[in-house]
Amino acid sequence: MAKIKQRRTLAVNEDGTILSDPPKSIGNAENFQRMNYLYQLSMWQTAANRQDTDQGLSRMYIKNMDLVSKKTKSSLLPYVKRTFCKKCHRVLVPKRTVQMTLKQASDGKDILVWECRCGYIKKFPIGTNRSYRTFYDKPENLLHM
Amino acid sequence: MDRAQDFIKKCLFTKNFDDPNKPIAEKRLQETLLLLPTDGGNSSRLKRTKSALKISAHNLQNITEKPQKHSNYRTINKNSKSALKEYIVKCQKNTKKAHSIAHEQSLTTRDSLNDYIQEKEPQLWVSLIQYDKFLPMYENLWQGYIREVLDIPLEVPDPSKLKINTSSALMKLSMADYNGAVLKVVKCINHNMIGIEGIVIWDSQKNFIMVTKGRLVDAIKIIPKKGSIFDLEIPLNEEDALLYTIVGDRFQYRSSDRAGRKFKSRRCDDLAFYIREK
Repeated sequence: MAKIKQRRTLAVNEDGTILSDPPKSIGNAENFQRMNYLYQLSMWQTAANRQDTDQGLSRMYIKNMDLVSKKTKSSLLPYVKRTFCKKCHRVLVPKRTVQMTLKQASDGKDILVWECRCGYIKKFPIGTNRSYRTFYDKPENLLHM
Repeated sequence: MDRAQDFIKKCLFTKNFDDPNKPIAEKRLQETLLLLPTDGGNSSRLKRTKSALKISAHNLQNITEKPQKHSNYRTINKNSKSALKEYIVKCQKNTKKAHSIAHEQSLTTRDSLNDYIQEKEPQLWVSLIQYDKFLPMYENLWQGYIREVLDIPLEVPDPSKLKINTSSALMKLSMADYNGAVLKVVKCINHNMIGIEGIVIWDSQKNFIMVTKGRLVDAIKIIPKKGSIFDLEIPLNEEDALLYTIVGDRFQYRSSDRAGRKFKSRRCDDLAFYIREK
């Protein structure tokens, strides 16, 4: 016996975007809790465990977090992603694990260059568009729960 | 008998071969496939090194043109797993060193040994692993995390009134992270490991790597999951705690794989040590 589907009238914005109610709970919240915990652990480990100059432990935690996010297909905010090296999974702490320099491109615009201790370089062309915001920075795109 | 053979011998072989009766010489292979004794490539290698050692304008130019590598290139740019391994090995070595110092100086108490190392060998003191330094990892971070996962409120005045959905709690615990938990080995095939208690710093596929409190020096211990049973306490308030047990044999997955995995039932004939009394 097939279920009879109830038709609901969709609320539509004047721009044509469909408005829907925000979800009442976070899906797979445990994974996010776990990733959050691993992130905190790694941060704490880098801050507290100074004798471990290679940051072996804290790097492994971040690596684990990355693996969990890949495994469960849950994505991270860009603020979080910017705080660790993509290559060696090291937490980027200014002056300790990352060197920040301001360089100028050939057209005279500023480029922020982060050099991790592993040698991996991240560039942010901040000079091209000062008012640029990421998708999650824009209003009404994020919902705090 | 065979005219064609004769014709070939007369007309073709006499033109091309020295001996038309035996156009293919029997010893023809020996000349080309003769194996000569070699020195295993030594002479050519020596030649190459000699030519590299020779100072010439060309050589000098090559040296100066080599790109400068990042400082400490090789030591830094290794992957995180090998860095962790190195860290663990280093800690184990340091503990051994501290033990040998205690033996040589015949120091029997923890405080006297700590004072001695602090005074005489500051280098060792800095890199020596300490249980107390890892304690906030358990007390502040892990407890808060596991309470959040299991939905335990911050203050539990009366533990008997606390309601936990058992099946969902077990499900959540199977996916939880055990880096930072305090585990205790309660049953094990290896009787020497029973009673070891420590903070897990890394949860690998087949081992729990723990920091344990020793009588003289704190040490990193690598406890295999196979054939051991761990106790896990989740404190509710100062007096009461929840007690869970982890069967190590069934826990042999990488912690990232455990995120999306459902545990299935298996045959349990390898768990006989669990019911066997000593």
